[in-house]
This record gives sequence, structure tokens and C-alpha cells, in this order.
Amino acid sequence: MTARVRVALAIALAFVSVGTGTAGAQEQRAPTPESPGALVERARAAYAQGRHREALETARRAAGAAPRSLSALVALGGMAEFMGEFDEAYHAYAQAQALAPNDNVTRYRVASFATRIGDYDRALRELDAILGTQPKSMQFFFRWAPAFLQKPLLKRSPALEQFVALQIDILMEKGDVAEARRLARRHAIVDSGRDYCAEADAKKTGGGSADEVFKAFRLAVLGQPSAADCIWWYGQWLTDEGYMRLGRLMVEESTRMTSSQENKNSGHRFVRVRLGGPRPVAKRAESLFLIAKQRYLRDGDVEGAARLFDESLRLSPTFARPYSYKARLALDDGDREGAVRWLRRGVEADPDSWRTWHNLGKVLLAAERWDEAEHALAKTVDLFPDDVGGRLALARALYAQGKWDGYRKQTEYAVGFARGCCGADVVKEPAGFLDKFQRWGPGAVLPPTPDPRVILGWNQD
Amino acid sequence: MTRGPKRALATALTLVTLAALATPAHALEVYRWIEGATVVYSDQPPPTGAVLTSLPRRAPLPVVTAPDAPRADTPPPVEAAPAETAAVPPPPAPDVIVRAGPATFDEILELSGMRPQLPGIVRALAAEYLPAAGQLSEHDTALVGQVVARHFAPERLYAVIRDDFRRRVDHKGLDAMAVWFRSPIGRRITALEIAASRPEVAPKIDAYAAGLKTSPAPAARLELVQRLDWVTGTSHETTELGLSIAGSVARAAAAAAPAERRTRAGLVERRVEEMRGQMAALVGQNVLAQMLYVYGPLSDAELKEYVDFLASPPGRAYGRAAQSALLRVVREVADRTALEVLRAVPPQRWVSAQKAAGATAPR
Repeated sequence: MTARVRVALAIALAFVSVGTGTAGAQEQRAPTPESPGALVERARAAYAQGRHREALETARRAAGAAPRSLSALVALGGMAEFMGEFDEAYHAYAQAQALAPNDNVTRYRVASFATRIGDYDRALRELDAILGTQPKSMQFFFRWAPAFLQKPLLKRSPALEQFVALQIDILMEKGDVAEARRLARRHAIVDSGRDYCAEADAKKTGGGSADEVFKAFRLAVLGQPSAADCIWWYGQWLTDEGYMRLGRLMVEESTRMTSSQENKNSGHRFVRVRLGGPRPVAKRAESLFLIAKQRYLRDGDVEGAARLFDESLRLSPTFARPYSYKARLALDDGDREGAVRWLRRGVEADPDSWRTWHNLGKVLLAAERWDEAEHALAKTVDLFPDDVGGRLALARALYAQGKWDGYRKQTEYAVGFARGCCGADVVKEPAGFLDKFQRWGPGAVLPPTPDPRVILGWNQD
Repeated sequence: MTRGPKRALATALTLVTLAALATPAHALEVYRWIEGATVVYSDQPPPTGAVLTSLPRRAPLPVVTAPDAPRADTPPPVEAAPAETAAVPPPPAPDVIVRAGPATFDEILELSGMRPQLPGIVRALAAEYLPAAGQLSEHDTALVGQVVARHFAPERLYAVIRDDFRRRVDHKGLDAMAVWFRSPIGRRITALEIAASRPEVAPKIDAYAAGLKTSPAPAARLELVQRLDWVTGTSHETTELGLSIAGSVARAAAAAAPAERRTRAGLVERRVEEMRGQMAALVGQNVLAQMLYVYGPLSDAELKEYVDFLASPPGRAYGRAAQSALLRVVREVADRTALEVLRAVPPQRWVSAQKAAGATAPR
């Protein structure tokens, strides 16, 4: 589930809270310090302040103290879901739905959770059920009003607009792009004949915020099925963010739509070396990976992250990205050999994963295992020729072995490419080093190996 | 113990006069030819038709003869270039007796300046671990002093360096190095380096470096000094020495922390590594200034001769072996020293002493 979907959910929750029974509304009494209500409040406050583990612990205490409290159960479900404790979330939501089968807040939560674990049909059913609780006139209007009336309707009701956006996102994640586009047209989210792709490009080059640019490209995907370049950009962006499934769907869609054979080849290669090729990742594994990454990078929760990475790998053993993070955890412990082992497992699981080869090469380089590093990094640039950091690392491995010609060729390629795409500053040090090498011959020190992030779609892990 | 990278850097900068100590790239076959407007270096032979140039010209190395007869079972020393191509004026009469026979490890480490300069290097590094005056109690200061003195003993370090050097260099290589280090120009340069490493010279070097801002060095001299740094890797190795000290303190402080608050080993290394960029930039500038000062008495031709020696296989072999040996022993000793210092005087005592004394800047 994307950040956008979560935002949509928050707004939609506000929408259903009005005029329908909600978990919050059912517990109106002022909470006493250690009452379940107080614990739920404390859990929410801890969550809002970024103390996520404490939030989950407090929500557990609340649910333990009041197993028939809907708000406590929903809070526990939400916190557990956020922390990747999916079994716990599943049980909490199930108990909540058993207590209040018609509660729309719980339905939204369940829809959210179902999306996160890849049960898209369940998510759509929950949304339909929520719509079914709205007044008949509104349902009718929402379902059947012509597009020109939908626009003012959604404009008056941001929550309704978000409701539609949520449906569209779920359909996209499900892989039903055609239905997502149909829904977008029916609710006048997109108009026919408008050049959304050009608008998105203008936002991108005009320095729009990341969110604005992302929304613009999303509209291009929905409103201009033939805009292969924009769909391609969107797919790469999603891939960078870690949304392997939706990223793959978009890249495959753009590859199908483009008329350029070169772009088709590029798209196929991207899917092969970046998105697991014939080894698609289960949605639940992807979600666990994304949460584990957050728990590690954002919270410093090494133990929790390691457990979720392991669980992700158990569900999708050929999913390469968690291997890189397991290696990183090993490196944090000063265990370089452990890191090499994890990365070797990663390239065995997915031999086409460019990034895993890249990471393996860099660790071997740091260990001064030059020939092994050379092999891994040669594989890296074979899979992704424009990997500037990989090429510079390969150049260092070659230099260390006295393979001057190879060093020079790899560095010239990397520097030339980086200058072309991103300006001279990105590779200032390697270029300066190469100049000295050309002038004075081999020096005493090995060449620098910056790893600049230069291309969209290749920037993760 | 808060005297981290800045202080380590200051010490490291005093070590740059060891310009001859290098860790050059591996001395493999190097081909050089002209391709268009550029000179191409490669480990592969040039393509057909390319114009092959000679490798950077090595000036002839005058040999000081001595009555020792060469060993019968060892290869003869590297031959000197013909006298008619000599690029330096005839050397002054040697002030030390230099052997002409097979070289010894001690002789090379003596003639290169490694041994004479080692006590100064060791003192400078050891000072990194000592508290500033009044920073700790007398008792604690004495404890730290004892630990540091035990580990940073020049004779012991020299023995380790010599053994390491011995493992990396064979007798043939040693003899090839001796040709340069025994030569008058070689000895003269070593003498300059030793002289500049004396503590009383440091203020003069600082003043000279400051003066470079208003009257920069001539371009030709600067180019030579930059090339000297390139072939020896002095800036890099100086940075490494500084990071060894800073890293040893960081690792020891992490190890001394309570288990629940202990920084993970890899993260400590990452933080130390993050210092590298900033430190390298500062060191680079200072190394060039110091080299300009130290080799100021040499003519461009003499300095070029030195650079050419350092870029030659024997020069590279010497630099690599000597520098690796020094770095290795410093790293080992630094880690042991930092651990024992913080065992003897735990971090809390440094912190509480500092709080009591107010916020004093690291020395």
C-alpha cells in the first residue's frame, strides 16, 4: 500500500466517521489514566511522535486490558500492521469485525490491511460495503451520475474523491489497469484529450514537489494509456520506492505500449535485472520488506527488522532486496564475511539482480579481494551498463591488480556517462584521478569509488 | 576522551615529511604510448602503429663505492646509469661511509630515514592519547602515561616494522633500493626530511604554508610536488594514520560503553570512515605545503630525480613495504593503546574531569 493510499485512507476515515457508527464514537467516556481508552490515546500519541515500538506495546496492553473494546482492537490492528506484525494485525481486525461487523472504520482498516498483504478482492469488497452504508441517493449519484456531474460532486467532497482514488489504487495494484482507468474516467478524475504526460513532464522539469510530480504522472498513467514514456517513468519511480509489484506492472505496461524496439528491450531488461524477472515478489513479502527497511533505517530497530527481512525471504526466497539488507545488518555488526555470505545467497537466489551483484562487489572491494570483486562488478555492469558507481568500483578492482587498461576504460565510460547525464561535479574525484593517471602513470593510491545516484529506477538498497 | 579526529589530524600532519614512505600501486608492467594528444598508460602493449615512448626518464644514480666485495651468491646490485647522462651535479663528498656491497634491511631503513624519524613519529602519535594538562587527576594522568609509553616504544615498533619489511622485500629488491639511498642525492634528500621532522621546525613550516597564499610556488615546482604525492601516496597514508588514531579511540569508547548503549562495530567504522573526506582535503593541502618546504633546497632537476626514483620499481617497492609496515604497526598499537587507556581510566572519568574543568577545547 502506497503512502498515497494511506493518506487517502486517513481522509476517507474522516468521511465515514460522519453519520455512521465508529469505533471512536462508541467509547465516549473520558479515559482514566490506565484505562483502555487512556492506553489507546497513549499508543496513538507515541505513534504520532515516532515511538512506534512503544505505540505497539501500549496498544497491546490496551487490547489485553479490554479485549472487547473496538477502539483498542482497531488500534492494535493498526499498530501491528504498521510494524509488519501481520498475524497479530489479522487477529485484531478479525476480533474487531466480529464485535462490530458494520463498523466502517474497521472496514477501512481491513481494506487497508488486505491491500497490504495482496488480498485486493477483499479490499474492494470492504470498500463496496462502506459505500453500501451511505444514503441511497448518494450511492445512486456516485455510481451513475454522468462524468460532468461527478467532477463537482467530488470537488465538494474531498473524502469521496479520496474514496475513488483508493479504489483506483487498489485496482492498479491488483493489476487491473483497464478497470482503474475506466473508473478514473467515469468519475472525471481524468478527461479525454488532455495531455497529462506533457503536464507531468513540465512539473518534473519545472521543479515541482515530489508529491506533485508523482500525482501528475499517476494521472498520465490513468488518462493517457498510450503515453509509454510517462508510464515508464512512473514504474521506475515506484521501483525506487520499493513497490516491486506496481512498479513491475507499470514497466510492463509501458513496454507493451511503446513503439520503440529499443525501449521495449530496455523495459524487458529493467524487469529482468531490477524487478526479479521471472521471479515476481509476493505482495506480503514486499510489504514486509518495506516495513523492515523502515524499522531498520528509521527506527534503528535491528532485531525487528532482521526478523521481518527473514519472514520476507521465507515468503519469497528469490526476492533479492532483503538479502542486501541482511548483508548490511551484518556489516553493522562488523561481520564482513557474514555480509558476503548473505550477498552470495542473494545472487544465487536471483542471478540477474544487478543491485545485489553491485553490493557484493563493493563488499569484496572493501575486503581487498580484488579478483572476486572484479568478477562481481563485471557482472554488475554487464547487467546494467550505466551503473556509474559499479563501473568506478570495477575500475578500482582492476587498478589494484595492475590492469591499467581496464581501469582507464571503465573510468572513462563512467565519467563520460555521468557528465552527460548529471554534470561534471558528480564524478569530479574519479575524473581528477584519471587525469593524473593519464599524466603521470599509475600512482600509489587506489582510485576513489563514489557511488552517485544518477538514474531514476536504479537508486535503491 | 574527546580528543578525536582534529587532534589526530594535527599529529598526522606532522608525519608528512615521510614523503618517501609510500604505498604505491603494484609495480607491474606499464606500457606507455601516445594516442592523439594524450599519453596512454596500460598494462597491455600498445596497438600496432602507436608511438611508444620511454617510461618517465630516470636520472642516473651516482654510486658511492666502498671497499666491500659483493657477495658471491647474490646477484649484483642494479647498475647505475651511464655517467654522461647524469642530470645532477657531482655529489658532495659523502659524510657517512656507505657500503657498496649487498644491502641490509637495517641499512635501508636507516638510509631512507625511516629509523631516524621513527622516534619522532612515535612521540607524536603517543601524544594523541595523553590528556591535556590538568584534564585528569595526577594519578590518572600517570596511569595513561604508563599505558601509552608501554605501547609506543620506538625500539619495539621498529623491530616490528623491520620484520614486516623483511617479509615484503627480497635481497634483490633491497639492493636495487640501495642504489638510490646510498647515492649522495638520496642521502641529501633523506637528510632534508629528517631535518624537517624536528619539532622546532614545525613553526617554520606553518609560516611557510601561510606565505604560500600570497606567494604561491612556481607551477613547475608545484607539478613536481603533486607528482611526488601521487607516486608516494603521502596524503592518503597520512590520512590513514590520522584515521587509525581517531578510529582506535572511537572503537575503544564503543567497547567501553554499557552493552545496551554500545554502538555496533560496523557503525563505528562507518562513522570513522565519514571523517575521511574532510580529513583528506585538509591533509592534502598541508602535505603539498610541507613538501614544498622540505624540498625547497633542491633544484627542480634534483626533485624530479627523486620523484622518478619513487616511481621506479625499486622506489615503489620501498614505499609500499615501508608504508604498509608503518601503517600496520600503528593500527595494531593504536587499538591496543586506546583499549587499555580506557580500561585504566574509563570514559566517565574523562567526561567528569572535563565537566569539572569546563568546556576546554581539545589540544
